[in-house]
Amino acid sequence: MAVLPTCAILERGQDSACKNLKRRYYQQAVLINKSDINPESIVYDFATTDVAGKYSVQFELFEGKKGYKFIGPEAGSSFSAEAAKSLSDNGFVQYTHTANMLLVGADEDSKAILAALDKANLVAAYQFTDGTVEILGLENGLSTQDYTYNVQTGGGGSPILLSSRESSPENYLPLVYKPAQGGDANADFNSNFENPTEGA
Amino acid sequence: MTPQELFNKSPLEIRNSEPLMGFFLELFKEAYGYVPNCAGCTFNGYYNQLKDKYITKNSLNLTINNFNSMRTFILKRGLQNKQFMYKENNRPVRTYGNIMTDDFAVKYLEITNDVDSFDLLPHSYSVGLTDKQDLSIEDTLNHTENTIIDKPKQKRNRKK
Repeated sequence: MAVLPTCAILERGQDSACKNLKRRYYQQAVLINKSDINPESIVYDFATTDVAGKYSVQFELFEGKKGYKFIGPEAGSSFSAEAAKSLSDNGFVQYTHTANMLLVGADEDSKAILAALDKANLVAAYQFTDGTVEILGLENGLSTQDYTYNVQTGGGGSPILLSSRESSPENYLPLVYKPAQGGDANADFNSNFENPTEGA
Repeated sequence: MTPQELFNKSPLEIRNSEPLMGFFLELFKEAYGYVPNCAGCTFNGYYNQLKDKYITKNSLNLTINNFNSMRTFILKRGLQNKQFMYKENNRPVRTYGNIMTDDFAVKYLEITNDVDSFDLLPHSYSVGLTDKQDLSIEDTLNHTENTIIDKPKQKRNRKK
């Protein structure tokens, strides 16, 4: 029998029989302009250990840059992250990341934000209620799916979906954000991953 | 062994195993800053307390590295929920006061010199200040103009 590559080998199982599961995301998203992420700082970690597998990424923004937080009602469920797996024509696994969020209002500010979202290439961070910070669209970015923005039928707002483009899906599932050595992922998320200017 | 593996075992298994009990006490001290007195006689209570903390607040990322990671400092009152940050190699490193480690505190102080946030400075940072004090005496003897201003080591007055 042919020898399979290591990436095609399953090396561990999962016992969820007695686990208490977390079931939702915090209703917040941090959107980062992809061009603000320093590509040389991106470090992936897929090494597996005896105890657990790794699927994390570290990165930093250019100095003076930060992400922008979108917050919805915590009792709602408008904010969530998802990934859809498919195969390319040549059999390569690919993932379409989708970031679900909510935008409200018909005023100028809301329109300006929506127009920027439509044209931007973004990376999204979501935090699951177990503390895990997930990063979507890190390789190729996310953009808004086609939508109908109707604030009247939407109760004042409208759901917005940011997803990977059909022509450039991601190679990985949403990666788990790993902070710098000694840091805390929760603190970085709450600070919008800001990299303040030295001396500021 | 990870905390998850430890809490997969029953309290009885942990109490009957010296290595497991030792690991449990290390984890407890890292989470709460002290080793419980008579850990054996009220073990179930401490076990449930630590297990709840680990399971409900996984974002704390409780791990045992080595004894050097135990806290030897005390933050000022009211700063447990404050975010602290320093920059290393142009990368911001952030944490909250209640989960700050000794390593973070030392690096934070070396870079920002924010001693006013601490009632008790980390041990290794205080030792460094003492070394600088010896150096300043030597410099004085060599008639150099530069002097090092030492912050007095702050001690917490314990009520009896």
